[in-house]
Amino acid sequence: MPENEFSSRKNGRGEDAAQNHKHLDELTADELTDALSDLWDVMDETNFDPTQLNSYLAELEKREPILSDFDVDASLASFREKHARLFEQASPVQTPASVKPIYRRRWRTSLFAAIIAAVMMLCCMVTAQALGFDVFGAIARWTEEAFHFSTSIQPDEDQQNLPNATADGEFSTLQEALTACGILDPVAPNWLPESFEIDTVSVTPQVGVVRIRASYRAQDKNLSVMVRQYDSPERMDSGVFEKDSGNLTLYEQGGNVHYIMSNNAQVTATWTLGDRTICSISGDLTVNEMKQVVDSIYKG
Amino acid sequence: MKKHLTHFFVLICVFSLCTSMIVAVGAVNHNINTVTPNRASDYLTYYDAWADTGAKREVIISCDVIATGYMDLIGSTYIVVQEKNGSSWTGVATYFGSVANGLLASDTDEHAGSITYVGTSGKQYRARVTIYAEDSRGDDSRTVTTNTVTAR
Repeated sequence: MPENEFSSRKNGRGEDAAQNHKHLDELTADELTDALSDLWDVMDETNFDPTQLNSYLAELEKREPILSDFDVDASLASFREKHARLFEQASPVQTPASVKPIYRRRWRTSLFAAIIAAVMMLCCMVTAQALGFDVFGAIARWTEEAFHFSTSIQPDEDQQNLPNATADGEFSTLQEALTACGILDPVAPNWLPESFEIDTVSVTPQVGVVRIRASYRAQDKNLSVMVRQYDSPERMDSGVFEKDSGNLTLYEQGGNVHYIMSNNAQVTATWTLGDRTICSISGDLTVNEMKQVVDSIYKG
Repeated sequence: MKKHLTHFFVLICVFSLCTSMIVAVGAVNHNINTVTPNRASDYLTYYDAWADTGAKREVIISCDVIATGYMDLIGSTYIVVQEKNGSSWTGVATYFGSVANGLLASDTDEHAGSITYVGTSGKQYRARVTIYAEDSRGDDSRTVTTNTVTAR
């Protein structure tokens, strides 16, 4: 333990130190210098022992005294005079030995607390995940379960008008309904798998949105084309398409990116027109058939 | 002292791990029977719910549902209008969907419905809307929260 290590070093500096230095008498000046160098190397801010260093220096002084004409006090005074600004600004000096251990202790405590906090958070997350809250993969799982468009476009007050719809009711073809609503971009498929036949085409204005829908039937199979014209771009954010965990395919055609995804037995392709219209085709098709249907929109 | 503190933290850590694992295993076992792992739907293709303001003090909650095929019932079964008071949301009105009030429709593959709540001018409102579709094989539902609007 670091605590024990630090304590033992501290204890070593006490009265036993004098005994430890007896062997210095037997060393030559060079050996003393080497030993002093070794001692200096192993010392750091936690085990710095000036007594030990002084005893080495005293032994060296005995063997090779410093020249008598060297004036220590004058040298110190000269040094202080040269760096007077440093000594004026300096606060009471704290030895590294007294500061660093506290700092280190605090740092270790903080690290330990952080580790504990991280472990506890992980535990809580595991529990929350097990309880049904999707913590770990909220974003990834969300994309595995549902699809929606998200726009960063801020609503312009002046442009929050009702969509172009002037129509309301039943139509005989999807293209007719789209034209009535002022949608001139290609949306209506020109090809569907053979057995599908048109069932209903309707346009229904609702608060903030015009709903255009065409449904097709083929015995026990369904297919529908949906267009939603919103009165402001941010309205597009809340509509959700169900999907399963299968791959989502990006299929580019006619300058639009079509997002093709499966929802159990059905397949959906969805795309946007401008900043406030969502289109989609959903039904009992394969992904390849869906791509053919999308191709047909632009090959008129 | 520090030694004791370290032991104390280690004990807390071990205790947390043990309790979390026990609860987690229990919860997983519980969820196996109660939660469908994959939220793809055999009934719902698309749904949307949103809030809008109408005439003075009116808050309009609308929903739009498209099913995978013809359904016996489709629409919204439950709408809770919430009002913001300070930093919390409080339910102020509840609407149960029915064919009669237009929140549900029968024998169709899509439906849109709405309700109008008369609130207080200047207050913020939103709604929790439960989307629903049902046929002879079973049913499915999703609950979503609408955007927030301020009553005029």
